[in-house]
Amino acid sequence: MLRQIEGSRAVAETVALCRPEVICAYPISPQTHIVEALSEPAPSRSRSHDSPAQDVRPCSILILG
Amino acid sequence: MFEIRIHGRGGQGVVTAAELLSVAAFNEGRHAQAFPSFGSERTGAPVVAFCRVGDKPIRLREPVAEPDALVVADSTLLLQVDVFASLRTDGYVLVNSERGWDELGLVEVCAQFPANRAVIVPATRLALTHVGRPVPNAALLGGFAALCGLISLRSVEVALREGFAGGVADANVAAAAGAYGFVASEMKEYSDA
Repeated sequence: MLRQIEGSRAVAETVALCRPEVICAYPISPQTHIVEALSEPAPSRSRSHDSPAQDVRPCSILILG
Repeated sequence: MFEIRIHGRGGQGVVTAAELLSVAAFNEGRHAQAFPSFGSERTGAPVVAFCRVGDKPIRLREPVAEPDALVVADSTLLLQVDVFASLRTDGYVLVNSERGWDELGLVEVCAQFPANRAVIVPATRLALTHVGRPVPNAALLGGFAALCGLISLRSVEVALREGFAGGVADANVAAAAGAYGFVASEMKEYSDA
């Protein structure tokens, strides 16, 4: 099944699937949406979008500049 | 593949318009992409956004240089930016304005395109009426659906409801429907003339 997704969200979901323990990121255009999506708990994303990141826990630490 | 270029100013929802257009096309089962030209992001600054729609996967990732359709969300850009650059002569033009082609100084430019392919729609007025804010993007999407038939008004409505919640979605859907009706009647006038 095809799903349309914003590029930034695709990056964020890919990062989440890597199960990082710490993400250091600075939210400024054009990557603001990546950081915003990473700051959401991954399970809530998976519920709304039926994402493969179903069992990914929220990042333990997200450092924003 | 059908390529659209949208010109506007920061705050007019141009980037969102391109994105919603791609969502509407995707929901109709087609392949679609949308992206803005990143520049200095300030309210009022000229903004360009692009959308491609095709029946096959779209690998191209570059800005739309030769659009099949042009949407101008702010007619003051006509004095500032070469919005018509490389538009195909069989292309579509949708301009947001209260003025006519002569007042906009576009009679000669307009004459290059088939009469029913260049339409002016008062999208900001429709937005103020229905949404209460001068953000013409939803109205322009409705007008665009009527102008070239690339996507249906129904798909625009679905995309707007995906992008906005509750009352805001209803208001934007009403603005899009209003513009759709306006453009459809303009085109009927051209075809009757």
